[in-house]
Amino acid sequence: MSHYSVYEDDMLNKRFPDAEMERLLTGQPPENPELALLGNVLAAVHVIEPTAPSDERVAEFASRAAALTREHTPETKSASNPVRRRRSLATLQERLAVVAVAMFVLVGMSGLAVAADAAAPGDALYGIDRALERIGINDGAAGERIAEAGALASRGQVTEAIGHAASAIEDPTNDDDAATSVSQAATALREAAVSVESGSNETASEEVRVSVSAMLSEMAELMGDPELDGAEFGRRVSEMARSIADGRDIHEDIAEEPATGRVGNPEDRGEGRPDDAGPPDDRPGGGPPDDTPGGPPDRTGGGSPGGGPPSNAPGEGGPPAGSGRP
Amino acid sequence: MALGDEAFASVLDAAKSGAEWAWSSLYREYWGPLVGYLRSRGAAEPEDTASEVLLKIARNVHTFGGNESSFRSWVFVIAHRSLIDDHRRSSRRPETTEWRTDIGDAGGDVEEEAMDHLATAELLEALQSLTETQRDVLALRLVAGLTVDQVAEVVGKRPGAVKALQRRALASLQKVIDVSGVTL
Repeated sequence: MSHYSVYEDDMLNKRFPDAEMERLLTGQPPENPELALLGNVLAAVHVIEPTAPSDERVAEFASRAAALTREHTPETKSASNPVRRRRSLATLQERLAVVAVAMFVLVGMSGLAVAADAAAPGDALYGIDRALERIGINDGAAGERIAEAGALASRGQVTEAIGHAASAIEDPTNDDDAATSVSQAATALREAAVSVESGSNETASEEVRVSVSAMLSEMAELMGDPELDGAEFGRRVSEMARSIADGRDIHEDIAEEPATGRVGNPEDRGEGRPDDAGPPDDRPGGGPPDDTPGGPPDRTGGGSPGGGPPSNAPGEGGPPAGSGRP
Repeated sequence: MALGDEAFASVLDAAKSGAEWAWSSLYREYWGPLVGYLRSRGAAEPEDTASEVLLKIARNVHTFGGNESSFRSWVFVIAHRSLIDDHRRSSRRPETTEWRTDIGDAGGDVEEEAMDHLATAELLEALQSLTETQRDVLALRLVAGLTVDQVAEVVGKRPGAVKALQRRALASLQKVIDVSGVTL
């Protein structure tokens, strides 16, 4: 790309020292008079201010953003029902194992990247890397066992794979740790979904990226669903993984809904959940659908599981007291 | 342009708890630079894309911990990726994107002064002569108002590499100005 020799680079450094560049690029007049016209041109670009958004547009956005924020805040997910919470914690280990297996299978089969643990900020895989770290399986012997589990899963031996992976994940020492782990893992999965969905990894096709992103988002939602038992959780995740691996429905879904990238069996999510998954009565059913074009496919047909109605969310009535409205 | 760290912290806290006023504030703050950046880099629907970027921020804001500067970087990281996806998605669009600007509509003495001496066509020609990455860097610096470090984070390069890119971009622009024979 570069046609510049060392000599030319040296000349450029002298002509455009750092301070001069900063002046030119921040709309200030340069010191070198030979650069005055360039300075004017750049200043002209610099001062361009697009028209401000209309009040209507601002209000519409603020309403949607506030609702989304409340839906996606992990703290609001843990309902205060102790029975439900305990059920959720009982299956934590298995859930984490399922997630771990699914992620390794996905990484392996999607061609997203070979070295997730070398991902840097900005890479599509950075979120996955961080998710694995937070779940605590990204190094040492545990990592190897998860990788073995991934190999089992990729051969269709999903149940064995989950058992193998579960043995690699330590039990949280107490409920608080467990709750934190679930919350962090779900958060990490969401980050991974955003990262993968909007990533620029050259080796993965857009269809795969969108599908994987959708799956990660679904997994994040399922992680926090206290009504799903471990087996059901595993079944759903493995179904999603298989649908992506098989390429089933992906192209149709992309064609129909390119921006949301929903994958898998639509009837297996949201309102179509099987009876044995528990009553959906704790969901803010029929919550506002997220119809954002191009947004991450993070909906499961009714807001966050256990998220509670928006009326319980803090800060709804305006700025908190004393926070100082700017 | 910026809210200031203290004000930003309170706005961020309120935004995280779902307060509409805080999201209004963030939207007004970022919408303009986002639209400017997206438009200059050839986004098909810059205004809609800007809103989408900010909705992604809303979905994930609970994961964010940092100051205003890192928040700004985060916003433009997402915008930058949206652009890449946008370009990839559109089979109609050519490989390279033109630098689009509303410079002809902008007001102000500086702009008039520049335009007196350099026709819009020549400015655009100058901008088209840059590489894609150089245009990215210039747009993020000039239109989005990011610092070198923030741009580095957005485009995934080291700050030194960003400086080299902007230096070469400036040299290319200066060359076009020299060749056009325009004088002050």
